[in-house]
Amino acid sequence: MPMLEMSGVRKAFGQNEVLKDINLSVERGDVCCIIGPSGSGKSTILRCINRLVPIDGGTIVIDGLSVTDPAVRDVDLRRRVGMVFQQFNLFPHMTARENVTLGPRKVLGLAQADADDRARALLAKVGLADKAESRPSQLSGGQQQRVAIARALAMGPKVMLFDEATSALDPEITGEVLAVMKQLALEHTTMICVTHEMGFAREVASNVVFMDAGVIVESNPPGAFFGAPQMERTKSFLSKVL
Amino acid sequence: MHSYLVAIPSLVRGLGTTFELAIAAMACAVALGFVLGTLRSMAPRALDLPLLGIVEFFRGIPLLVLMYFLFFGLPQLGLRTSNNAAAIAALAVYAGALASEIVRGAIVSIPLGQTEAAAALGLGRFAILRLVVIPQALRRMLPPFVALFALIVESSSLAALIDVTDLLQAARQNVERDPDVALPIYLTVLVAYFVVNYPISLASQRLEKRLT
Repeated sequence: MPMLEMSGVRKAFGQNEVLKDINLSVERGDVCCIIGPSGSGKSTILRCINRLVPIDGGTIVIDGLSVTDPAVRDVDLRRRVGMVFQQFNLFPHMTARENVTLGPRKVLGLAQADADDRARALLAKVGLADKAESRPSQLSGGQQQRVAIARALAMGPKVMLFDEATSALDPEITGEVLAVMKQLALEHTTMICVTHEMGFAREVASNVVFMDAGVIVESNPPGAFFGAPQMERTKSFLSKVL
Repeated sequence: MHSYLVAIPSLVRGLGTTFELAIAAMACAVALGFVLGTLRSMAPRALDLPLLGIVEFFRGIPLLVLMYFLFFGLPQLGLRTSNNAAAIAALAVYAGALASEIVRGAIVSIPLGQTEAAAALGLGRFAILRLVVIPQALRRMLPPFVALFALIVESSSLAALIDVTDLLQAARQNVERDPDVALPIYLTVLVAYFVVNYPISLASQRLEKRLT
């Protein structure tokens, strides 16, 4: 059974259909990179997966839990799905450590000491062991995003969603965030990454999905996807971004 | 000169009463503001409209009329209150309506990304509000709350008209005894209100600059 299975997913904001019949399957341990022009519905897919946005039709099943089943509680779904945002969205009134321990303490019910141990280990993993007591305002964008990754990992998620995790960063510091994401991929974390980083997709993805105007135009492993794109729309997009 | 000096202790007591009124009303207004403002920030439109109606009603009526209603009107329903309690209640409701706007405004000014990030961790609505949104919103509430306190101190002088012995009423009683001191006494009262309120509004402006 795949880790994530989306079938026939539809979503409209008012008259604007942003997702039209989306079918997407992601296997355990795979990295799925979603690329495409802005406004194509890439981010909306991620937000539907953890119920930040309710879908209008179709089904999403994640690790056996149905996103559309009202009997499945938000918390049971969301503790299994970590999310990293373009704008980091760290809590500015908390230190890095407090950002990372909030979920484990308040949602998973961990004791402060256990949550602190977990936070220290994760901050070390993203290379920020010495920044545990820093506030977000004292950290660079790349450092903030790495704290945000640690915060999401602290819940022990089955799937990690990355919503343009490097788009708000200066080009010279996207590397430090991409390195952390590569490391997670090497550890067989199931990841769905909406990204503009073609190099990352080529190197790390198990599958590359190209979206345009609310539909999945083409989906293939990176070798085939970048080497021999099938659809005209894909070719024209790649010719502009590569 | 003599009756001016004699008046001073009663003016000081009156100022004390003014502070009592203002502090009690402020405490109630903040509590009221938090309840109403938080509710309004979360309420769906159908529930928000009646709440908005309440807030607009109490913002739209003159404070003095509210005091008269509470002090002279309600006793006919058997709800007899002391002068001070009626004054505090009127000030509290009036300022509470303004406080609820301050609280609601501060809450909705926190970027949606904060709520989303907290929701993505699995936190529920109330936990998000309590742990993530309100701690950040408090900073934005502080300057307008301080300014609101200055407004309450000023407005509390209306309580003299329902016979609360606040600073203004203490001054009036002295002037009634000796009309010759009207000028120095009322000048003193003017200066006293200014001396109390000016540092408060300065503090509010300072906080505004520091926290935003």
